[in-house]
Amino acid sequence: MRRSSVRVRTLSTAAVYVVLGFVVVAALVVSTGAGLGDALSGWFVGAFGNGYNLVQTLSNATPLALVAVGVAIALRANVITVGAEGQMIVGAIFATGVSLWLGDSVALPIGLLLGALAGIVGGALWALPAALAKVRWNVNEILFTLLANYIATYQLVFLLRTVLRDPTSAGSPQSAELPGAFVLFQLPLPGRLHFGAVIVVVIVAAAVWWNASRSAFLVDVYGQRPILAARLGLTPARAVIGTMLVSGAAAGLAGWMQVAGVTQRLEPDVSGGIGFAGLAVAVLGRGNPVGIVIAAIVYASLGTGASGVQIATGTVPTSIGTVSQGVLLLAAALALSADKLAARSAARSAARSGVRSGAEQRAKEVSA
Amino acid sequence: MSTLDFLAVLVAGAIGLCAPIIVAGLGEIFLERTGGFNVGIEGIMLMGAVGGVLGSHVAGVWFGVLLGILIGAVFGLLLGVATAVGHADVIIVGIAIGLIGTGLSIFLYQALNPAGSTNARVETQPALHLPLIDQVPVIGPGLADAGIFFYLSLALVVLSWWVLRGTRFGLRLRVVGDDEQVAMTRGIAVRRYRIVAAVIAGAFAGLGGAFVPLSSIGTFSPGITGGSGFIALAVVIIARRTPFGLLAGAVLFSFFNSLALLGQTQNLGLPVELLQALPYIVTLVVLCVVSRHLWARARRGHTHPRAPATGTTEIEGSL
Amino acid sequence: MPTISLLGVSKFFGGAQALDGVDLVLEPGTVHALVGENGAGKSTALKVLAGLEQPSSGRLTLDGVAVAFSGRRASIDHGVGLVPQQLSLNPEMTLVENFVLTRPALLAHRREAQRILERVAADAGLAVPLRTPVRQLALAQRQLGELAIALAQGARILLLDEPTSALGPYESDALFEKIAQLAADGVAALLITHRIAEVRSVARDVTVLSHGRVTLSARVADVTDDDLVTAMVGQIPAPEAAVPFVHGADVLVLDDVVLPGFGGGRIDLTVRSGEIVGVLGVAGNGQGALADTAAGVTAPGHGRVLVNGVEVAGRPQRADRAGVAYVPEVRADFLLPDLPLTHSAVLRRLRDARFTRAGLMRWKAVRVFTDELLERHDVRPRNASLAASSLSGGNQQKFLVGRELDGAPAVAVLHGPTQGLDLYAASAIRSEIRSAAAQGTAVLLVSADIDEVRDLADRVVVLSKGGLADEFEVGDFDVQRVGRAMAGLATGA
Repeated sequence: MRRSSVRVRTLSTAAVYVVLGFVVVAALVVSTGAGLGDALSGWFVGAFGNGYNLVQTLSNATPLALVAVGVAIALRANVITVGAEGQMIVGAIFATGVSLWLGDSVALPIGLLLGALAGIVGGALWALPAALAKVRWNVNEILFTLLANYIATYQLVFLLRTVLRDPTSAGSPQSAELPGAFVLFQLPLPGRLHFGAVIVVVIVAAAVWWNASRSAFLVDVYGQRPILAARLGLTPARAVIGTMLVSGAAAGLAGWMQVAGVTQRLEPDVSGGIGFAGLAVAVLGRGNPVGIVIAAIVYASLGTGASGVQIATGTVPTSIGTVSQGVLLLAAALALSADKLAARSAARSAARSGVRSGAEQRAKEVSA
Repeated sequence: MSTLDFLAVLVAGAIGLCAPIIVAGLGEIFLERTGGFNVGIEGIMLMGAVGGVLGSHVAGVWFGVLLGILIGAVFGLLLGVATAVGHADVIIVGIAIGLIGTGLSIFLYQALNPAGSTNARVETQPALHLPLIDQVPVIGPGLADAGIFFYLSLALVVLSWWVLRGTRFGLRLRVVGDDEQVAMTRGIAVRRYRIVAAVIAGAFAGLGGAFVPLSSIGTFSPGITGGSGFIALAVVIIARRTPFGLLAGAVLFSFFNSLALLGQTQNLGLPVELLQALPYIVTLVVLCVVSRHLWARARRGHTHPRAPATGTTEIEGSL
Repeated sequence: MPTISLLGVSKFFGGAQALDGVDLVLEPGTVHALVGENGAGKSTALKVLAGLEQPSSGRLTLDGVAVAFSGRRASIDHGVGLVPQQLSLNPEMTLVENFVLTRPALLAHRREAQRILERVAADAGLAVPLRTPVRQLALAQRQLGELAIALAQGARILLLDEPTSALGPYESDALFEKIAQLAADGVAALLITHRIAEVRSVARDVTVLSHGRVTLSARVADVTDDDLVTAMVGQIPAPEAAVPFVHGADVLVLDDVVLPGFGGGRIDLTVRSGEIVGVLGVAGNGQGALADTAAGVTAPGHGRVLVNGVEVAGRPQRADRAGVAYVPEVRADFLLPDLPLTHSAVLRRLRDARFTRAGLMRWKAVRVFTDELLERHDVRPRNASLAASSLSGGNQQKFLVGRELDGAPAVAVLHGPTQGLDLYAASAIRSEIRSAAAQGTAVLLVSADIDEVRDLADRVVVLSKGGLADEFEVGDFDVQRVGRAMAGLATGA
């Protein structure tokens, strides 16, 4: 009884926050002189309105979901990584490098496998220093990964200007096109969605399985009380390095997918500001793999929908998408804490009345 | 160009670049003394930058500075209320505020400058040339033409140092961060101090952001702050939350940044991207060295390491 | 003339009632003891007096005039000084700086604050270093510092919340002497305690709380100890007769151990199967380090820790496998605060095939196990899906002790296993400790409660400055001797 009423109250609190957030975004839209109805329908059309747009949303959601699954694992260990951006870049560099180096000498499935592997290795390698620094010297992993993102970006620009530059392209710096054996094929859909989306679904399923495992439990234990995890054999070094490597590998794999599936060549904006987005989606999905997929689609729809809003209204800039993503995340953060506080206070008042009735019962026993 | 001249140009560049980091970092020091952390600092700085340009366009550079401060304070208030009253996770709220700030700055920029219209320059900081000092070798020319914003940020460093050390307010901020329970039994309104510190952090970040376009560029462009906020976060930790340490760290970072800028126009024998990455690499290395030192000291001091306390103890014996 | 009083004060938290029509009158120049078992409402009454909580109904009067404290600030201004159990000093600052925090001036004015504090401390005969970071002060010194600050703030009323809970007998006596002296100077003092001997030694009046109600209020001289106990708990269950047990092999061996953070003293200590060894000492003399070291959680500065011949020093996993159960001083350290109780419950059972299969957790079986654990140890509420942090302190303790002692481990290191528990729960836990020992567990019991150690232990050691100051069979227990050893005085055996 009491639990369900708590649930209802939290849900309504969450709803209030979301509505408030919506009001803020709507006010921005209206302030440009646009009609709210136009904007809403523009958003829907832009995100889901036709096959092409829907597929575009899913395509944008694919790397987000993959990165967030990795980030969520680190989050369980209380490790907050915002390094997906750099890890994705380095994964993409590795994958591109391997692909261009091996060229046409390998067949299709091997090429894809090697590319994916290179991406995983690249992403994990870029995550390793942050993990080691945290374990050895207690360096704040948020700051480390943030700074490492900038370094990775300049590294990418350097490589695209020199070693990896496509000699035939005169304009913007980019690599040569990947050889055929390294290119992910597209799914038979309107628009462009590569086979990597299926791989992500498989990875999400694996994550669901892992969530029920003993090792996931140990990571949870580590996230709350490192000493208890150490008692069960999971040392801080293994927990932090392990989870950060996994999240780096996921981001690196996403980098490979962007190159092999979306652009088919390495471009300077391969990561597209995914650093904070990965963490945001992991939080919005509450760390649950299926929740993360849904959150990734919603999050991506705010971005693709924003283009629709601009087309429909003509006055609202596409950056309304970023604003709504932030507002959504803020509302979620407040709703999450409200949920936690409500659960806690409910348990406490239950405990208090429990203690009281227990004491009174004993008093009766004594007097009897 | 002689080595001395080259150094003088480098130093002048560093002095010109450091004010936003110093100012944003000062706010962060106030916030972190109460136990807070502002990952959204970059977004708030971008809002300060947009506010600065808009304000300067409307009523001159000082109004721009004021608008930057005000907008930053509003965002700081949001951060403070969401964390101190709403008890939301400080990192998630910071990221959300960063997204909102980043998005909104571009939104305002695009909404007020429809594509195609010329991006007019607004009034920037008034010229200031100090006599005499420019005779000092290497640092003289840079200091003489450092500009009002630089000297303003120096003044704020001294002011912040004094407030944190010499006033009851500064001591109370520390208690709130060190031990909330102690602060409450001492009759300190913990929540209020948290919010005030967040507002200060926001206002300083907004001011720092306004400095970026109003120093000399006079226009806004998306992402104009270029990670200064994140650098400020790192430098605050390196400086162990002391204003003068922050000043040193910000100058060090800006020195390498100045080197990178110089490298874009002159051949310094290194890839320009390496020079551009150098400030971040240096910051990272110093961050590691300082963290290592602090960690070793903490382990020596507390031989009985303990997991962070949960909110469970407060209820003990309260019934 | 009453200085401060509660008149018919009730206090509700959510749906639960913590205080029920409580009357309490403090008179100037007297010490008033407030006693009751844990959870009786003592702390809530104190918080209302200190302005930290507002009464739900009833009145608070000061010098006969009704007042309402809007917060701690207001009560300080009205001369209410508080010495809380968890001291309210910031360890990173000096006493002077801690005092500055509460001064009305906007500027720090350290020198002026120091002058005031010095004068007050000298007047009251409180000798404490004012300009040393509090972190470096002994607990007893911190307590005196807390008193000095309260007086410097102009306190006429002193609220003392279990001030001796971490002090040795000598330090307690010294503190009570100061309190008596302050009372003689006209201060009204409220002393919260659960030790009847303390009530007798210093208080003129006593009020007993039970389940939020006043069950007794009288002059101390007019009541017997039995009256007080009955008023507190109704009737205590008779202690079980100790089961004689022949101690077995050496199970836990500390060999030439130097505790981390404590130079000097080398510890040689052996606990045999079925034996309970009690560790006494003034807080801060290495109890936590000894417990952590013996449990394999932290590595000693030097020496070996053996469990049935296996070296476990600084090896938590090995210690766990060797069957070391551990209840640390801060119980929250060994619970998973934000995860359901099932997660905390299964921690020591992960090798059990019932709970994991093919690398996957079997949460249904864990849940059944957790429900049983909650039932067996009377943890309330009995809801295995609650987060551990939402349990009250006492219930957390019952849960933790139950989990660790479950299945008669080879070694049990217990640091303050009954702290914060009411008498019923404490006696239940004591009999669990006894029965674990009867089944062969080697128990190392670290406790600040001298009576508890005397009651349970077969052998007692006294810890001072990280080394063993004394060791004797419980049959030779002598409070004088223990007090001397705790105070670091030479043992005149």
